[in-house]
Amino acid sequence: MTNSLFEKYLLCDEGFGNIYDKDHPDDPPIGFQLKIRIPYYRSARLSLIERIVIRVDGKEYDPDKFLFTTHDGTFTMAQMQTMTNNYWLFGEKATVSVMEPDGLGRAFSTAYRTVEIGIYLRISYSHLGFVGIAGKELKAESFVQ
Amino acid sequence: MGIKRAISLYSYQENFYLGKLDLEGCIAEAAKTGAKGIELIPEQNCADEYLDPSKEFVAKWQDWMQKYEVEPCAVDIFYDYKLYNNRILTWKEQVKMYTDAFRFAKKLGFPIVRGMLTTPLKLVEMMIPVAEDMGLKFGVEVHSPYSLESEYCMQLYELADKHHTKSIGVIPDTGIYVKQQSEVIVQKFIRAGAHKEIADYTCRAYVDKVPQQEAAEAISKMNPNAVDHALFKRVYFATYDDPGLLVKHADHIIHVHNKCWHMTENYEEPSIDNENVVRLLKESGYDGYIATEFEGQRYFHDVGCEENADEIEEVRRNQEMLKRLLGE
Repeated sequence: MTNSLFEKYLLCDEGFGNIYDKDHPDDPPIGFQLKIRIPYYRSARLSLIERIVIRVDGKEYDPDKFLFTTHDGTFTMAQMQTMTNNYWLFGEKATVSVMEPDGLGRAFSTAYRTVEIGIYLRISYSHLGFVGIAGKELKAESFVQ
Repeated sequence: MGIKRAISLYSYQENFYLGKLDLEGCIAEAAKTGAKGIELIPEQNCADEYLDPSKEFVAKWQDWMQKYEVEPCAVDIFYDYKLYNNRILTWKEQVKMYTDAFRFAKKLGFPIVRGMLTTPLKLVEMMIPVAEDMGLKFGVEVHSPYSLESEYCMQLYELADKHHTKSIGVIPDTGIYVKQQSEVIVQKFIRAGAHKEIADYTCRAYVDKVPQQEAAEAISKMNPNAVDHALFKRVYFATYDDPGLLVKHADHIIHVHNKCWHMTENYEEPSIDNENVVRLLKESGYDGYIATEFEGQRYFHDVGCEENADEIEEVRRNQEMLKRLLGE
């Protein structure tokens, strides 16, 4: 209810789906990805990202398997804790890659899935931080990395 | 001299967020209203150039100011003392961060830095010599639930007087002069499940100055849900400070934000006592900027809400209102 901004824009319609290894494109997916925007009215230094929660069709994924990509590069959640000079820009579509073997699974990989996210930012002046929670039905595509 | 009109680019945040306007585009839209001052939140519109702007960016910024015939009026910085998840910043680190922020302001020609409400007075005091050295003014924004005579503000005035300085002061946000809750805000809560009867009661109770405790008891008998409670909290979080304090503390006012959530077709913001505020600012001899800060867009951000605020039109209307009140 409070401290949530840009909710309806957080989860991007595009950029969701399985990731295949470009050198082994016929092997099962090496993970899946989705694109998110920041639930806040300014850019946030990467160290302020406390937690990202991702659920697809009710299954929650391990943040240790996440890779977060901004215009500055790709980082793990742990790496971002000390990155105080790089920003997730206001409005920037960041890609979260969940490197879960088999990704979303190959069957039904182009169907609509229920995707839910929670983005928790540690914002000093608000003891609740700023939290963005959104859920959407997204159509899965395929990506090669 | 007279009060000058400005626009905080915060007002165009949704356009920027969605990539419909870039920074130059925001400045161009602001200039179309005839406003002279530009207020910038670097971390909103140019974070990669903050705290250390490149020569190219500074040159581009100066070009834009000339091209659109506007001038930098204030830059907004934040008190991010929890940069790291395992400690708060030391005072030394905080002073360094703020000094770098002041330097950013100076490079881009901003005369004023806006600090957040509740910036520790110890930090404000440590920044006085830095502000004086750089020829900048550092103002702390005052918005609800504070008053221009809250303890924090009184201590800030004492600090300025103690150091015989005009380099620190306050930046009143006219959102502290709420006559009645904005309709666009109430509508968002109703979409989220608040009951219209309870919302109506809550809003009327605020206007009638029913004490909070009494009003809370009244709504508890109306079978409120969590959203009704949240709206109640929101409505009673607002303040209607005495606009006369703008005259009383005129010496300490560095800049002013004109908050708006929705401007009517008659160029009025029904929630805020703009008539008295602007009249008294003029009477007080204030000759700085009043910057439009449109914030209505966020009340259409709930998932499933098909409507969007028209930021450009809202800002234009707010500027028309200011023109009228300033007698232009």
